Amino acid sequence: MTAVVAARSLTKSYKGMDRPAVDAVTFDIGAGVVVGLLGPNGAGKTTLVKLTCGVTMPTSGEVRVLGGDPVADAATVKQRVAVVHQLMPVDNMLPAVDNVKIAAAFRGLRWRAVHPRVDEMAATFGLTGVMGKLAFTLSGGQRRRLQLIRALLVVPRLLMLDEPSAGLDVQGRRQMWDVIGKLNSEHGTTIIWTSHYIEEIERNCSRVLVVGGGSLIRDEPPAVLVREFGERTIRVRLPEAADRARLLALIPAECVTASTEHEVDIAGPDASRHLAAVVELVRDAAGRGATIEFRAPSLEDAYVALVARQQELTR
Amino acid sequence: MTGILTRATSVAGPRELRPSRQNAMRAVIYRELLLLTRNRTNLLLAILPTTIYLLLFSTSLNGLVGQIRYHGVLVGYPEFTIPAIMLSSMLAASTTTGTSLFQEETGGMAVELWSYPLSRPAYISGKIIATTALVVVQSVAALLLGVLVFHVGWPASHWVALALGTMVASLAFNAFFLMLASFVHDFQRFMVLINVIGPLLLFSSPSFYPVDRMPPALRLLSVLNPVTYGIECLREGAIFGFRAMWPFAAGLAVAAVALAALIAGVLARRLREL
Repeated sequence: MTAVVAARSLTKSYKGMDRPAVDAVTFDIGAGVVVGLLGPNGAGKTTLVKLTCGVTMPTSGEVRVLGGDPVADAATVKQRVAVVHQLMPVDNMLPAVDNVKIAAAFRGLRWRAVHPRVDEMAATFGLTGVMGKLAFTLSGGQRRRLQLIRALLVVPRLLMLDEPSAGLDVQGRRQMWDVIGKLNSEHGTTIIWTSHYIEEIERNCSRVLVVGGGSLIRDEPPAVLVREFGERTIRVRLPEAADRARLLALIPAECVTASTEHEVDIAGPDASRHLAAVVELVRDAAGRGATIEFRAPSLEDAYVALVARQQELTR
Repeated sequence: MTGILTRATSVAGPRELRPSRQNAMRAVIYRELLLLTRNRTNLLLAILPTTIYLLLFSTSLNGLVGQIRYHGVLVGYPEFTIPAIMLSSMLAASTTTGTSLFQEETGGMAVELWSYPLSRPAYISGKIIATTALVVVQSVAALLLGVLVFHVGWPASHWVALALGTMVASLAFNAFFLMLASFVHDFQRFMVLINVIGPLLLFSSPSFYPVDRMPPALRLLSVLNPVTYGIECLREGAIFGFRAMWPFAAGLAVAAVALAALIAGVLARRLREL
């Protein structure tokens, strides 16, 4: 079966930059998968999105989307691809509804045909009252919802979301997750999703591509990354300073990952060797409010550890 | 929400999705016209200076100059200056369209547009057609205003020649400013450039005075000045008709095609940096 996205040694260099924004990246994304794209700022996520949706062309290597070249075969490939860009681009001096009309025109959709659905989506996203207002008067969250309406004028075969949660409130984020989830489960839409909210990726994606310095560092399901890089953390709460001092004297400094006025986080390969002593100390200090909590690693923990390790390697 | 998505499928069936170059070009034109016509400030800025020029010429200068000898024929000063006022309006409208290129890039709209099924030829053709249409409309508005103020009358064939000249000159000068906008990467620099270059081009051409009355240095400059040929095209058309105008119109048409090709090349380079 043809991959929805197939990148081979995909490289993009910009004029005046000392290293490529995307450097020899190779991956395949099959149909119906929700893929998270993670990486620190400047890692190349947005450039990768722009290359995949044919906004810009590679310096070398190639990317095929739905079997075609997104730049050379733009008219056919992009018809079934939708993107929500990070910078929330809208025509500010036009009303919100005109922004949607323009998107419909570019997709060859008759406004009469899509109008009812746009109205329905505007109602769902709480934009009915502002569709006639100039786009620059909308809040960040409203602009983001407007982008979603524009992107969902057609059911895309590939939807790219570049930090779609930025600017959205909690309800807005959950509403978006719901829509994206249904798109994927009911229509088999393939989704590429970049975000700095790692829990959003963990919750919604079945596969994660981690990029750093323009290169692809890892390509795994979230569970594998968590297993490989995540560490169970022991959080000890000790309200008394004397108890905290005893604990810090008991365990090696490299096992302490965080220490605040009342709490000490213990993790690392040697942490389990000291577990019995820590439990004993907490039992002894229980009368003074001491507690212990075992925290399972999250994708965020694994991602932070992976990126830190990568940065160490490149130093 | 499921209902919305289900409807999306039915709406976006194969008959509705018409991926073609014409569609994309129509969409570019539609967007440009919405942007240009809904921004009343831009329209006002384009029309206001023309009106002020007209009022100035209809009162003081017209009375002062009276008639002028142009290519051996005595013509009224209004007849002589209306083409220059039209060209001034053309230049003002063209700068607006050049500015729109920057607005697209700085606001991120360029990235959004290139995410749609859009090809470079469709984008460039659409952009040139839509913005030229606006330049033509503004130039015709200036002409009508001039005719109303000065009560000028020409034979019908001269009107046809003038209309043709207006279209060709609008195309060429619009392409000229789009070319400037595509070459310059810095918006501030572009604004300075167009604010300097507009009056310089207009006043170093035989706009409000015949070429033989210009100082030798300016006369030399006027030969290299594209506005000279734009004004001559309109003036020859209005005063002498199509036969006198066509070499200028042909030259401007060739320049417009060359500029369009240049813009396509420069925009392709800019796209690589998006």
